[in-house]
Amino acid sequence: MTSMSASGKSGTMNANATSANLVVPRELNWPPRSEADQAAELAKLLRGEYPDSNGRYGPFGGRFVPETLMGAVTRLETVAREALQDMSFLATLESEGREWIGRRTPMMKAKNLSAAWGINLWLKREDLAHTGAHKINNALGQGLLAKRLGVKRIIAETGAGQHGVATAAACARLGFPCRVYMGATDVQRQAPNVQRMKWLGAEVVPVTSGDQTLRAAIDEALRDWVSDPMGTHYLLGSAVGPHPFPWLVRTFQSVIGRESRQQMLEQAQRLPDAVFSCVGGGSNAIGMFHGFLADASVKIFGVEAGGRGDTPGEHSSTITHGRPGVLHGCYSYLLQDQNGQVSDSHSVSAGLDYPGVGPEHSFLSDVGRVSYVQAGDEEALAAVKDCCRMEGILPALEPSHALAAAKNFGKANPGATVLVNLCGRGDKDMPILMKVLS
Amino acid sequence: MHTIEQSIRSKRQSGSPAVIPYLTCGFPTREALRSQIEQLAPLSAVIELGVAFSDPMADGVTIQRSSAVALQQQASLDWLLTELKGIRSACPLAIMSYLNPLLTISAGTLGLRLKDANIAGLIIPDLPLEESAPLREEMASLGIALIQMVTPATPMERAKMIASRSGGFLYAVTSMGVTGGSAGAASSSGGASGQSLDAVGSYLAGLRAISPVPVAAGFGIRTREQVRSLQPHADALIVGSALIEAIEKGQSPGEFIRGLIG
Repeated sequence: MTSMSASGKSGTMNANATSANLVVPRELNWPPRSEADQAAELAKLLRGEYPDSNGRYGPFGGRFVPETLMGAVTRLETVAREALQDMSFLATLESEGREWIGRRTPMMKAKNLSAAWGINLWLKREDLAHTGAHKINNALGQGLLAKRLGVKRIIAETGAGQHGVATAAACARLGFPCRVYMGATDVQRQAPNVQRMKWLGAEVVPVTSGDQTLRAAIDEALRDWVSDPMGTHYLLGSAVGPHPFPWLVRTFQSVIGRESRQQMLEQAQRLPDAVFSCVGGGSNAIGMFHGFLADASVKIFGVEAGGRGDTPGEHSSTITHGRPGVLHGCYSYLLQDQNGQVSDSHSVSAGLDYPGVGPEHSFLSDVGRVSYVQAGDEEALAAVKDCCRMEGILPALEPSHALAAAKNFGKANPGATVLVNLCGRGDKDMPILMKVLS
Repeated sequence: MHTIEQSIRSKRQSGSPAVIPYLTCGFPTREALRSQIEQLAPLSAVIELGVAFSDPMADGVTIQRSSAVALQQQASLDWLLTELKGIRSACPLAIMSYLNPLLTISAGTLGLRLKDANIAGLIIPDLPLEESAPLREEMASLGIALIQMVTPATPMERAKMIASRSGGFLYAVTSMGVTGGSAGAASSSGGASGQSLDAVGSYLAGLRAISPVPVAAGFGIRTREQVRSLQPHADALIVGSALIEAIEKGQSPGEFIRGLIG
């Protein structure tokens, strides 16, 4: 079991830090060394200057894809920028969000967990969104974009199956044929979601190559996309991949942070002292964090999966243990060996079991705005139990990592007001819970 | 004229097809590399030396398989560059690598190490033109060609720009999809849209009209018939997955390539 480090990684200079290389210009002088330099970089992000015209957040991000896909990613950015200026697109997004997804999702005071953990714990209930997780926000947004792109079919990857279910649902609603790539290991451990996808009309393709988890599913979805880049939309669900995906996913997930900030002010009459979200690729986290990045008083924590320990292959703590590299089209922190081969990762949670991380998270770590900490398998499972028994909510294994980290935070900060993004419900985890908890 | 370009042009002038075989280095064993290069070099315009990567997203099942074997054999960029210092090749050598393994060698050192290993060119499937400027400059100063790719989906204006910045040759991907499909025939793998031979021919002719460097066709060239029919349309032909499959069946690389061009 991994314990949570007190301060996380942010603000510390370590041997893994970025330096100039083939894709990072020396002039960039990355990472920023002084607090003033870090603040200046964060200010650029808050002013909307990142991602820049090359899709970079500082050195991170970019478009490291085969030439075959350049036309498709360029067209996607153009169409997305137009759509996001178009009142009718935004109105449809809003009304579908309200009527079909059930936004806005509630904010809830977790009274019993608060008492047990010695903090004031608030939960953003993304588990109550249609299909049971935040993934639907992005699936709807990109599904509507796919209409404007004029593509004939949609493909997606999925880890825990939440993004696959969300994409299958959006495709059913919008009338697209849908194919979902899912690692064979994940097909086993998230069986209920596989059936749901099929009921929603999607074809589920188990991926037996590579590590047979989320990473292999993305590899396979990219291989599908290169065979028909203009007729197919790849509806990527994590905040990873080539530009414009990390930006697009953030844009559609930012509703979480916007609503949360407002609800905290309405219901708690204050901003939280600390915000926690789990980070695999980092889609729920980036959406939540954007609501609070400008509030200097709010500490922000991204919680990576500590798995079974710090040995390579036993965890999915990319920012904690990785060094920057290129996987799936973007430059970001990456779990890799000394030869640049991507390492296998592990987490009890399929949605966090990924050796990469969204480029904007790498940026937020390097500029010191977000601390990336760990919670291990055992801690997450304990949090599932606590949340079930005390609040009557079965949380997904992914946000249970955020709950565990919030609990740890409470030990050093009793009485703190803490917000956790409960980004999905745990019904899909029943097979694995029955295996490990009984 | 760059040594790779020269080699392709002189092969063409001699009347024999200019072939560019691709090897996954370390497949089936690391020890096989020397003999593979020695067999192929006299028959080839250039040899593409593939560096195995754990996540080869532009490759089909064949090269995924050979890459996995090579990684089990502990193949790495570092091993390859060290090994090559002791191997003399009768034709120029180019490295084909995904970007991430290249990033393990620090900027400023990579070029020198490639030079030491007698590498004349570099092909990076996940480094599009927009991201390639710093690397191209570093390589140019050492005389190492950064070979760029175009595909049937690349608009002609963009293809022109890519060709003007490509060193050694222009890598023309002949079919959409991953490696290992079939060019000039209805494709049977990976859902790739197979192009008719006529379509491939006119695509290649269009590229040759705009490219200052030779145009090499690749992705899905696997039979002697394809070589015969594509040869008039391209300056060189790249043979990858088919060669790997031959090696898997126990055929020697030299024998397979001779059969293809003979």
